[in-house]
Amino acid sequence: MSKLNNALRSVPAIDKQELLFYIAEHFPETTLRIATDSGHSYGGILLTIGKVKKDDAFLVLQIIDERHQLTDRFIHLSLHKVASIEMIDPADLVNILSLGKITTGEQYEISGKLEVRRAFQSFSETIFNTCAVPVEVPAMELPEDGQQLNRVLKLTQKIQDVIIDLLKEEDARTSWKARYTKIVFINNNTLDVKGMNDSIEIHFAFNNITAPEISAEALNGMLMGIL
Amino acid sequence: MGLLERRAVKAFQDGSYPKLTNEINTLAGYPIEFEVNWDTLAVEEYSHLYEEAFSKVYFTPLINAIKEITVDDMGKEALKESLKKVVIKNEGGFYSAPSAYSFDGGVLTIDHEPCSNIDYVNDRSEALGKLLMKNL
Repeated sequence: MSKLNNALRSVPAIDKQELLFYIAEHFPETTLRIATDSGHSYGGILLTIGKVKKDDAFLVLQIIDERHQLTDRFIHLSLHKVASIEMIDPADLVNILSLGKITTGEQYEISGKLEVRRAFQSFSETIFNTCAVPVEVPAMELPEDGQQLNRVLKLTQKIQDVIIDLLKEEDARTSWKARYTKIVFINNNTLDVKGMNDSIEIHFAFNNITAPEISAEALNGMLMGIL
Repeated sequence: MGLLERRAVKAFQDGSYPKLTNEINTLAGYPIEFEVNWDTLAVEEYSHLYEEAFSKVYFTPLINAIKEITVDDMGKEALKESLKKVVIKNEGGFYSAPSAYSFDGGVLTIDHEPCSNIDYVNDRSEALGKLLMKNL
């Protein structure tokens, strides 16, 4: 619980509209209890939320009964009327309250440096064996913490998957081979990809075990940008 | 420790022990310091099992784990950097693999009852391999 409390202390302030839009998009199965300014409260699943004219937002909630079963009752409610929102057993509270900026969803075990170094070696060999593109073993200053090392291990696998997917295309392989032979992982708060001489630098929060994991789509897009 | 236990321990010290530690050091590629608390290992009424039990409980799992780690130069280097000493004893009354091993400051401690679960060599090898990998 203390880990959760620590994570919750770092979430930014958000308004109810941002919160409900995020829940509708990313955690639509979360059971909510919504209280209105007139004192009524409704438990249910958020079906839709949207803005209409005059920037007024409305939501539709499918009501649940006392056994938490969905019913055929629905309520259409203006956000202006919402006084409070209770989330019941949310899947990832920190993720929801931080609008995805922080997550405790990923659990990290303990890994050692040897395991990570072997994964780096395998990264290089797998890309070469799969795509015939020579990429040196990734360079990185490894953290000392076992959970951080486990995150690096998992991220290495994700990065490898993205690169292999990208290098399925002939033009991507040709461009990569012509420009780059090395890859460097750099610990940084935000995802960024840079082409530096013959190296590709991937900047990411490799060591931050509370940060969301790398977005395959974003990484793919950034890699395309330097090829 | 009675005479039977002293004789059985001496037989192991003179026979299998140097061979097993040599094998471990050869696999590792450097000399690892061993500290064995023989008095705690010499449990009464089981002296006839010492030869088999000491090997299977304490040394074979370590040999298996080190073999797995030292399959490449990267593993050999990591082991050399991290594992300095092995302590073998029977003090905590542990008889299962997850409880028997601990690693701190370059010292691997094996604390296991010498004549319990003798044949669970694979379980101990796996648990020890995982523990070492987390610390290398």
